[in-house]
Amino acid sequence: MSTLLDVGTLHYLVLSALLFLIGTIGIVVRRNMITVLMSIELVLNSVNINLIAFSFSHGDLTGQIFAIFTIAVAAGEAAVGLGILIALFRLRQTTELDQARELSG
Amino acid sequence: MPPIPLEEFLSLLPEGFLLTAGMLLLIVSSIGKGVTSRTATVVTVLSLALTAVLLVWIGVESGARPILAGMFIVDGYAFFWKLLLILATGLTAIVSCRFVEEGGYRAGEFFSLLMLAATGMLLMASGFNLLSIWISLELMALSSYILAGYFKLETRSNEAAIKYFVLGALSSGILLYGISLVYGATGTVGLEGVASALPAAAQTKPTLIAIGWLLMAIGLFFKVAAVPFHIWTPDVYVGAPTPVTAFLAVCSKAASFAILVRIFFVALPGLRVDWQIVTAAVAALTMIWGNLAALTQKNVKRMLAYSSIAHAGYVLMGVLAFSEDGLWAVLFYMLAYSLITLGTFGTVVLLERKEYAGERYEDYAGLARRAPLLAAMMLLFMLALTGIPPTGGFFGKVYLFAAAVEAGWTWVAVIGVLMSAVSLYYYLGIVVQMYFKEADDDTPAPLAAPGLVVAIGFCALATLLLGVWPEPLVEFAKSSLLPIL
Repeated sequence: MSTLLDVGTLHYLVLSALLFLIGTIGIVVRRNMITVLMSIELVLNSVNINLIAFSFSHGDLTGQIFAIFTIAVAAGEAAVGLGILIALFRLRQTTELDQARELSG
Repeated sequence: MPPIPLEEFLSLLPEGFLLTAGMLLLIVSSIGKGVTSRTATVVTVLSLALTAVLLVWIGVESGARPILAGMFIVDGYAFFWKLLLILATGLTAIVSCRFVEEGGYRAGEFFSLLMLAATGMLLMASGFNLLSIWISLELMALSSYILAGYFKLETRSNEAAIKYFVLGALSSGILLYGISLVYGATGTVGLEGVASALPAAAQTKPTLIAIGWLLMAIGLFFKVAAVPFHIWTPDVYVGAPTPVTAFLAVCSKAASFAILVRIFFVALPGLRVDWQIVTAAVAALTMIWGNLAALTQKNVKRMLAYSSIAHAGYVLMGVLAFSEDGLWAVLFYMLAYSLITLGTFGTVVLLERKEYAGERYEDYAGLARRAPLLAAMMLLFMLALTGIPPTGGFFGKVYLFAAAVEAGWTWVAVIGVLMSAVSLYYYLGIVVQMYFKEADDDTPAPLAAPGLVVAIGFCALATLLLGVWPEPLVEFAKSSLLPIL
């Protein structure tokens, strides 16, 4: 018999929604590039939780395979992001995004 | 599970070839002094030409054919987009040659990234599964982030890369979250599977479906730079190296429209009523804000960025019509828009220097006297972007407006017509400078780059040709439609 304390798909969904929100807010609000990179990882990992929870509840492997692809792409994204971050640091000796504000209007 | 026949792999030969060519160029360019910009351009253009030949050789058999367990599909729709993308990438490569040479960085890297991004785009056009579509999208996006920051010692280029990366990653994340919810509701990520599971899922899990498709739509609107998800566009377009700006404004937008239409038409026809309303609102906002914001710009690249936002709004009109007429109008318009925009950015590149000349309106002063042919072509592009005959831009807009009116979206079409009239003001700003102002001493003279001039001439000729004789392209676009359910 399932009670509120048994962990089901809904619990995973709530967790992943929270992670997604934290990540999104972090990307939009935080001004440090490293924190932004971490927030991007949070968003992608919240998706993984969703995919794996649904995969489990559907009894279908597609979601888990999708999650493996997401992890691989997240690694690529982190590599590119860090590359751009290093270029920023070499130019300005900082990782604060507020320092990069030439283009606006 | 039955084995996959070899011919299904062969259907992806063009993409495989382009990928290999891009990787080889990357390897060769990292040995010793690398390759010169000219060599890399020639290699890129030849590879793209060979890719096009392979594409035509494989061809389109009657009817659509899903391949590789439904991951990709070979159909006329993908064929049209692929030819468009190959043509536009080739022209971008020619436009880039001189620019990359003057930049002084490793040229091979630039062109190999261009080819890798193009590979992602071709796969996007063929994508028939949310998984393969997303991976292809990421291949395009990751290459584009690096391209935007290619001039890594210039602060503007670096800033463009950062802004593009952060907001691009956010939009990919939103799209992916939407995909995961749709998977949760339907239990599949194949486009046709989603479409057939949708009616039942909409009954049992309406919240998942509603949030899922909306997040997917937001992610896609981000990628095509539609208001209010356009915030990254102006800064990235100004800061990125100009040929990259052209690449983003044309190829990236075209490939994103290819998957947007594919997902909306094939996977989500069951939610037609919902996404039509959202798309109508987004299209109207995009046309209004894109054109109004372009009015006040002092920088030509920034003006062109807002103009490209506005053009995404026009194209969305064809999408929301959800009819055959709307679909071929989208295909026609994207091709015309690609040629016009590449020609325009090519002209900007010709005037550009290290100090970012060619970006102020005043840099175009007296161009009609100094380079009459170039000025005439720029005049043609400006008229085409406004949508004045006899140019391809005129017919493109007429078809889009007609399709929207026919499908009952008259109010959106009216906004489009009004905003096209507004756009005349800022496009003519350049024409006034070229024909009615005198050049002073620090006005830049156009570069002597024959290849680039030929590319611009090709774009101008094609724009004119589409304006007087659009029927062949219309016929081709009509033969490249998706089935409308």
